[in-house]
Amino acid sequence: MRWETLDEPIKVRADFQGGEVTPLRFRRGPQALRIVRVNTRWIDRQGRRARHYFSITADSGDVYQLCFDAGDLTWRAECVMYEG
Amino acid sequence: MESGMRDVRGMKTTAAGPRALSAGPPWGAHPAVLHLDIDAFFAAVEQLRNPALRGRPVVVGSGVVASASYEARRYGIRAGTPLHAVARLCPQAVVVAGHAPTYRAFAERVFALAAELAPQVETYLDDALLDLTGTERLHGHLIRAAAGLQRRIRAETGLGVALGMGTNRMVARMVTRLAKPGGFAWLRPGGEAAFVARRPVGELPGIGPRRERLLHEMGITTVAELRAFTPAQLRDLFGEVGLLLAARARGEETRAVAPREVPHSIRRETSYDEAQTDTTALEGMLHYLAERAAAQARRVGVVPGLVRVHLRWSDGARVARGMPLARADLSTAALYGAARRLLQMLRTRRRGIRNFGLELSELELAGRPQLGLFDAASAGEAQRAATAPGRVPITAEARLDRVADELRERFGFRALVRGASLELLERLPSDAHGFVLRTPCLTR
Repeated sequence: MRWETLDEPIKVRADFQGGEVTPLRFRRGPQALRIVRVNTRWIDRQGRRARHYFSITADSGDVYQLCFDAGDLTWRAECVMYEG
Repeated sequence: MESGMRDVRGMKTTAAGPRALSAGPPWGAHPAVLHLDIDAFFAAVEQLRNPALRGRPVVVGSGVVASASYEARRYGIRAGTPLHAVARLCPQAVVVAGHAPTYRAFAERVFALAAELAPQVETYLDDALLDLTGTERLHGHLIRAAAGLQRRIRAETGLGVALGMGTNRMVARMVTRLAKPGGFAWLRPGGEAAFVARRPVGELPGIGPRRERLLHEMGITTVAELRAFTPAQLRDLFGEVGLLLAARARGEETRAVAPREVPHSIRRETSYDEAQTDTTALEGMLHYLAERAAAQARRVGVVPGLVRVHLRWSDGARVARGMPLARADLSTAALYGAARRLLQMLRTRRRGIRNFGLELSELELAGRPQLGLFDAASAGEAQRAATAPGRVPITAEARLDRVADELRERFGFRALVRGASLELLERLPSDAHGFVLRTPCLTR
């Protein structure tokens, strides 16, 4: 079981209500994926820009790590978990 | 969790929830130190990140175990166990390389919640000491307030923490051992000497494996047996630290809880699967480690007085050498120059290197350059202000480092790779935090 680095810019539909950002869906290349669960979240505040990280489970069953950069308001798919 | 709460003086366990918790009388004016320890920290974070790991034996580390989940500990796996032994002890264990920046972010969140409760918080990698003395009027009953913190940490981060409370930091730490995993134990004021007396002598801070072995050979296994020695005898046995041990054996500890402004040292190191002999690759790595160490020093706001390079040869032999640094020069270039000379001096054998790194020590708070009152101040004025007595002068290299820090802050470490580190581009994978190293200790 290992994290495979993706580091891809992605388009995300997210909920920003209540002062908290929660990703709902994202598009990775031709794939449109629905987020069925946010497994955990954390914020890296090293430096002046906060980066919000999310471990999510997509409807495909895969576990991804997504990153939202609060500085330039961009999303990236950082890595995906592979079995084996 | 609440079922693990107990008053260690009476060894009483309550199975009731927090509302029915028998917390006893208020703590009052006695010193109150709360020790917070994150359970199986790195492994717990990995189980949060990947739901498939929950309930399974998880080991985080590379070469040796840095953290093992409680499921893995049932098989005798502990921090420091070599990974080849993990495969033998628990073949189904999942081994994860680990990711220090993620763990740091989780720890910062836990410590931020702790700081909302305590005016003084002293933090370490995965544990913290909170001074709650005199805060009972603010928080209400301290035992309940601490239990509330424990629940909040669980709710907001998903992490379990063990808590121990006592009248001093030593007792609080010792009590936490009884509360792991995920429990809360406390020792009421006045019970310190009796509690400490029952503990194994190796649990006393200041008694490491060597001293413990010596004491065991003398037939001393508990702190009560250690107390048979007078302070003078302990000093004869262990030197000046013997006097400290005599006080600790009575449950006394006077060191206050205080946030550390200046760390003891800053270390960056790596290891290789196969012994490295290529000078270019070694110097590239040394440059990268120097950049990371220097950036950390700037972030913390300290200047080092000494740089030390250490390495382990392929036959396991270790060598190290240090060199004083001019405190005024914070630049990566100066640090790398010194470290490179040290590495050259150390490489006296025709052998590969398995592990090496550098350490900055004798750290002092940096004098911050005085900013101009008005933005229109000329560069010359700014330079004069920066070189005023007591200020660290800003060299061209230091300015360059600052720009590099800002660029990396904004665009990630890979946005700017420079100097000898360029050599690593073709050799190592990288992510937004930098090159992915094979680091035996995730704290570095």
